Amino acid sequence: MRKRISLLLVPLVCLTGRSQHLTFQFGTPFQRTDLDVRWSLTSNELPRIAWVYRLSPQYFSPVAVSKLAGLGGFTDKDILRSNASEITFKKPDYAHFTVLASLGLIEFSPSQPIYSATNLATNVPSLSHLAGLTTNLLGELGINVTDIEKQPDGSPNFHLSQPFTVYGNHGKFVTNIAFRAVSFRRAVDGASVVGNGAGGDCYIQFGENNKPVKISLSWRNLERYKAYETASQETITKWIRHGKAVQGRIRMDAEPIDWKEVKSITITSAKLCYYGGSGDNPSEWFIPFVALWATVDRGHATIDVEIDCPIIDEARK
Amino acid sequence: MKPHIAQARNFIKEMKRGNWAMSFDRFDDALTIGDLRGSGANIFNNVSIGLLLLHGTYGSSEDWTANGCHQMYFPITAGASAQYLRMSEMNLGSADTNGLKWMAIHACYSLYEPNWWNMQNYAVQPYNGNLHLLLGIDSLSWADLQIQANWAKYMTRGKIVLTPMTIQEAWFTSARDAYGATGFNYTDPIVFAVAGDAACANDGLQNNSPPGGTPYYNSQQVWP
Repeated sequence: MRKRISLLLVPLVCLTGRSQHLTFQFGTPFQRTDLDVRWSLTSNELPRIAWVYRLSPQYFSPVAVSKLAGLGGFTDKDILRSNASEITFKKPDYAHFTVLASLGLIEFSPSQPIYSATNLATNVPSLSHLAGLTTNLLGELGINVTDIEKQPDGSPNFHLSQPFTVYGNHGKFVTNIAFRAVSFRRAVDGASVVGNGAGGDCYIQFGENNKPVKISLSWRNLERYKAYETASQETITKWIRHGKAVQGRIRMDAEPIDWKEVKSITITSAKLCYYGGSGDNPSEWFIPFVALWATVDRGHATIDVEIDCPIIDEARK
Repeated sequence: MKPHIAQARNFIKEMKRGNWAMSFDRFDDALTIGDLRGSGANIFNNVSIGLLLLHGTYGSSEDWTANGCHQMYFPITAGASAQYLRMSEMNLGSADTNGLKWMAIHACYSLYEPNWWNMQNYAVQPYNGNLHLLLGIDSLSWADLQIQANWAKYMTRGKIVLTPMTIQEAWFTSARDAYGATGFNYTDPIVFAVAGDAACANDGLQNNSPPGGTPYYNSQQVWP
């Protein structure tokens, strides 16, 4: 009987432990136990305490969902799936609209007008109007604009862009701006949430007459779960050496980093971030980690790269 | 495994999941400059959709071997040496049933807008009338293991909820998602682009339209 209980308990303990474990689904793992890691921070932005957050489904207002469906021309006959936590509309021309509570997800991609050199979009909002339009739309969806990553002046950090299409027309070129776009991230305790589709990002295109023509939003509900002391520089160094960190991207025209040949790395900045997995493999948690900006000395040259590392020192909780 | 090979393998894996068969894959020196030249029957013309991962740059002076236009160049290595492939040499596109309709070149500046329109002005094109879409990059780009896997997945099955995207939309969305997956600061905006025939702008892998002869160029910032 005792043996049977043990067998039951072990998996439970493992599951609980794994559920809050930070697993990067990006970056390139590396390990070198004798790596020369140097710290040269101009300022220390890391808090002494960081919270782990538990994520839960987001149920958007049925009124807002219904309004979006109407805006996109989706009707009941377009419904592909519908249940308590999801509704998906799909049209034959690739247009689709999904609301998925488990991920706090809205994917809104209605049929697009066919533009051409002789049929250009009109009355597309200017870049200066995007912040207001976005704030209004988020309000309808029940999302508070104060939850968005902020600029130094405290305003939401909206990234605005102006995509365009140029058509050839009998030897001349005609430019069409079908929409203007805004993207932004969620912030938790002032720290950016990374990982698209997992609960903390949004991209919206506003087209003719200020209507949204594409929304890609993931915004789950969250609640504080447990506070941890953040790791010291010495602990982070140890974790980097023992393969807990991942290397970020480098430019396509740069030589890949061969960690066996690296002379040293110098960390020049450290920023707290949160990670909730990816849309394909979401976590139930926002786990804090530290994004380190580092200069890697290859011996013959240096290259700057981001290194992402756990920040929670569970031994000191 | 070298990052660009892992990147390509991830693309192949996702296309296979979408029930597409691979015709060929070539890495490093196995891909020669002759394989990419139209005069040597560009090998990509034998497949419906192609992906080329390499370095790229744009010219800032006239190229007198191509009507004096400004264009783009891709270094093709062979052992310790390298030759630059002119974009104008490629002749992408095939009228065969399974011939090339959609071609992606993931390289910095592979669709650098000023030079693209300069090429158009000088009637210099890297494709023929059979190519539907050429997908590329208007800015510097960053190597990413997941970006082409995203593209394949979004074209064949969709993002999360099994609703496939058009080839063009999948190109832009895959980049937005890959570059948004971390908090990394890329310093400068990353801009992806799609050029080709306007009638094919809404092509998907299952439904597509024949080229109508009107060129177009679509640019979208994918980060931030």
